[in-house]
Amino acid sequence: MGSGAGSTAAAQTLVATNLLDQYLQGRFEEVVATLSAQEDLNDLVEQLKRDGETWVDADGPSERARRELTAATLALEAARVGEIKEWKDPQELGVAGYTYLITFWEAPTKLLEWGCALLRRSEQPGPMERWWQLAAMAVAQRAKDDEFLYGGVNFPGRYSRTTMVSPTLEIEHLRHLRERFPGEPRFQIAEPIALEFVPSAVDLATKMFRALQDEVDVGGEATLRLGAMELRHATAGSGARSRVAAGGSTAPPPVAPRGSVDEALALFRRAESLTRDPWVIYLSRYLSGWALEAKNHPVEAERAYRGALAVLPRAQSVSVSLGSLLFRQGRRSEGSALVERMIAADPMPPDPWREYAAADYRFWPELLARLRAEIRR
Amino acid sequence: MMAGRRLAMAVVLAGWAVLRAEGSGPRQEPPQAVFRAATEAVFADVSVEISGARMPGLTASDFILTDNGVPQRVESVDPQAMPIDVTVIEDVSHGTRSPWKFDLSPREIIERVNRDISALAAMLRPEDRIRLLTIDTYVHQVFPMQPAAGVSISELATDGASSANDGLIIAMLRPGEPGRRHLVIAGMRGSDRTSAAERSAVREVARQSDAVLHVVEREASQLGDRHNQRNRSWGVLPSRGTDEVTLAGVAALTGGTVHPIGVFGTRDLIREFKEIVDRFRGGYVLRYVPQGVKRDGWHEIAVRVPAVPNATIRARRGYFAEAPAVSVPAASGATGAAPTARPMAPATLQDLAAIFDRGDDGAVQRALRQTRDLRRVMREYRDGGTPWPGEPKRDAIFVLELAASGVIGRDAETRDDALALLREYEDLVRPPLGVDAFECAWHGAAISILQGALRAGVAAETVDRQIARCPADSRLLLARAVIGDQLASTSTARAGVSRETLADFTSSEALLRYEAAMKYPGVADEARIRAAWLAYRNGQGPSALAYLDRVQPAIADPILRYFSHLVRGQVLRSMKRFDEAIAAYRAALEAWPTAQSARVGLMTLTVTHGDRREAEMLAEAVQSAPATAFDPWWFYWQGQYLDFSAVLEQLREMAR
Repeated sequence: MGSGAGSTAAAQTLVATNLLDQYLQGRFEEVVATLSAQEDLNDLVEQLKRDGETWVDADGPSERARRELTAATLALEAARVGEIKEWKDPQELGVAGYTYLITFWEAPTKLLEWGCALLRRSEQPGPMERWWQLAAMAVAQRAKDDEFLYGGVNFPGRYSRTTMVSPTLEIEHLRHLRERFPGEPRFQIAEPIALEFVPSAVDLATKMFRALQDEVDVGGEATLRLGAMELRHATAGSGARSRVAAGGSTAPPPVAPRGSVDEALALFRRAESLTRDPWVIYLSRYLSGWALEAKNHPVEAERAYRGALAVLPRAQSVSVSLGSLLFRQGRRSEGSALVERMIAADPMPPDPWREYAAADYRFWPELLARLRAEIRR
Repeated sequence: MMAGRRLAMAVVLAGWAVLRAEGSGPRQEPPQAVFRAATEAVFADVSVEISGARMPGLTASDFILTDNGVPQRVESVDPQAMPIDVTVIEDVSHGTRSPWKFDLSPREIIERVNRDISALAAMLRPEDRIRLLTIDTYVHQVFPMQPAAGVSISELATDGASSANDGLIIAMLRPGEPGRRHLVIAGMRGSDRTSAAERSAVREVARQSDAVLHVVEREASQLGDRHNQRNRSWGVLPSRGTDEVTLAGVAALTGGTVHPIGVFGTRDLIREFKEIVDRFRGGYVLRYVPQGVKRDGWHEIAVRVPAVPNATIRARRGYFAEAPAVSVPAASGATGAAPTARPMAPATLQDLAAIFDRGDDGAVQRALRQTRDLRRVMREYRDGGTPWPGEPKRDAIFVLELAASGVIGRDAETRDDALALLREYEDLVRPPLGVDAFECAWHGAAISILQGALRAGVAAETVDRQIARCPADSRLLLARAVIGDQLASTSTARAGVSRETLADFTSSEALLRYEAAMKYPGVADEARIRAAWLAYRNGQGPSALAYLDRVQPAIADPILRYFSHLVRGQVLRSMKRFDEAIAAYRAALEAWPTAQSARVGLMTLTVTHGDRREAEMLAEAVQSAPATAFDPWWFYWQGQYLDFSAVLEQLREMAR
């Protein structure tokens, strides 16, 4: 989701401890407006590193946990605000016929890691650290950067044979989470999600998703994502879906080099049976619609799309897909009306398809609310 | 007359619109009817250009137009007389960095969009209208179609991934309005990353759209995309424009064009607006009423200008006349639609879902009792999925109601299916981020059902799993004790449970579990009362009284108050403290005036202690009690099932 623009908060010199005090007082939106007006968050990173721990300890042991959470959450909010503008600066260094890939991490990633390190100081993770880590992972997932989450792994075929990935500056954020919360299902599924879009790691991601299919909490989503990968492989680059469903064309579906639309459909059906998460059900039905369009089964595709619409009545993706399908089949009024109703919706409801790659960022409002409630308490 | 000229001529046929003739009533033609005169007219925007320059002065007689091969009689309409609806699309998605690009701040983007629409608005006439769509991760309608004067914006969502294809489709799906022409001007940048639609779908929609599409490429995208992909994978699927369809081809299908970027520059929409609007206004509009062709379906159209035989003619291929709508039901479930009430007994999941949607709990219970084949309903539910795919909490409550009826079903298969449904849903009710209050309350209701059905063997396994999820849930801790008590004490509950399992459930173990539950204020009194009853049954009267003495004197729940006094009466009686027992029974009757158990207890005690008259009166009251008189003691062994309705109501409240 894009960031809201138009804030009136002017850029100003930022004093981290002032912001921390405001945040502790519950003036959350004020702090976020100030952070949003900043062009560069590097100074905030430096101030937090310098003054953060002193601020956390300033009110004695009884307030320490709350102030720690406050500081970490402020860093998290700043990272979220800044992540669209900057995330990392990858550099290539050529030496003696080899290319060295070196990643320089920018302020938002440093803010996340600072908050993470602050909370990891306690020997045993508490429930609030879990919520913070879930929220931090959501922010990182919105950045869609497997290197930050999983590490700059040189999967076979990812880079040329003369390319070296510098291991020294890796963050591997998920490793921290694995160590702190070994049984947490959201962190378990985050690993294959991080690799889902790395072409050379597809086999590994597939294996990881498969291993999670029978997990009660994430089995539905793991199965859905397996189906999406299957469909992606089956239809990549073909442009098949709309072509075969358009204008009464009887063109056969393309021969898939890898992946099977039928297998994808079976996975979507199974995914829906494993969960009551509307997000997963919507996507299972919506992507079934895609798959059925690719198979030139427009009637079944329409039924699947309508099933998705029943989950989220004005979701943009299915409104466009179904509206377009109906329109192309000559049911112009119906298609147009569907899309016009959707586009007039204010506010626009969140769309699982649009947020698919951002993964757990869909939970951000709930996660942030929990953190803020704890700070306010 | 132009035949001898060496100038290349292009005839651009643009903006076909099937429009109902003004004043015509609802369409009467049956499917596949042949068009009749003066019922529906086809309007077509046509521009004729010579070397890119508009050629004026043509009349209707200069054009030959065929509809599905049948020549049509066309007439010319003054384009100036037709107001224009303009949809402006601005791509405000993430500014990928590259040497060829610049990043705009959100504020600068807003200023740029405002400049664009103000400039365009200044070119429009009072009768024209404008709407603004922005492309970001989502397509937003910033303002709907409205008069152009004074439009401006102050806020935009920016910086997401581009959903350009969806933006184009949303713009072009807008139906044309009688007497108005629709122009879409799209300022595009970057590649599509999140659209639902592929470019080929854009093409097919363009082919049939009423709108004329002009695309202005604002910034180079290829370099930026490569750079961006290396940094982060924005896309869910490969770029949505990877097939062979180009924007130029899409625009041409509508009679519009692409205005490409220069080598180094960026494209300013304002510069293009005048040319686009002038071209649109300066063209021709042809009108005809189709003759001699079937009404519905695809109409292939061809246009020629015979006077210019060497002209290159680019034209929309046709239009689609719509057949009557046929609706297709959704994939599964009730999909939120409320079927009309039926007088007959509910037979299907959809029937029951509709009753459930009305929010009348009593009606749901009645309907479930009337349902002849609950197994079928449960099978429908398990095979077809939830009727409330977007409302998991509502669904979870419905499952409880369904299972509660099923576990007391007439046949063993129904009961087993209900147990299986409960077991499956125990997993499904878990929210994605971890256990929450709703899940724990749901477990509380589910374990009540198992207690009510005296399925203590299943309940014993279930409650352990539930407590693992909700370790501090006092209701579940009490349930664990009650189930242990059931297994230790009642033959019905013990039926079908293996000897090995039963070995773990003894009276003393149950008592320990009650002791554990007593630490939780919410259930402490009930745990004490039940522990007292267990101790009494084990012949430990003093111990039972000690538990009862710790029950709150002003216990609010009338059933617990009644149980407390009734058990006390029984214990005191066994200890031969008859007067105190009589007082306890009287207190029990005060707490629950129609309670038969308290009456009988009091009656048998009074008869042996000389007050035969009172005993006779009590006996009379017992015998003449209405059939509906309810004694909670009858359900003592159903444990927390007595609270089932209250927990359901609590769940409903949480679901709101």
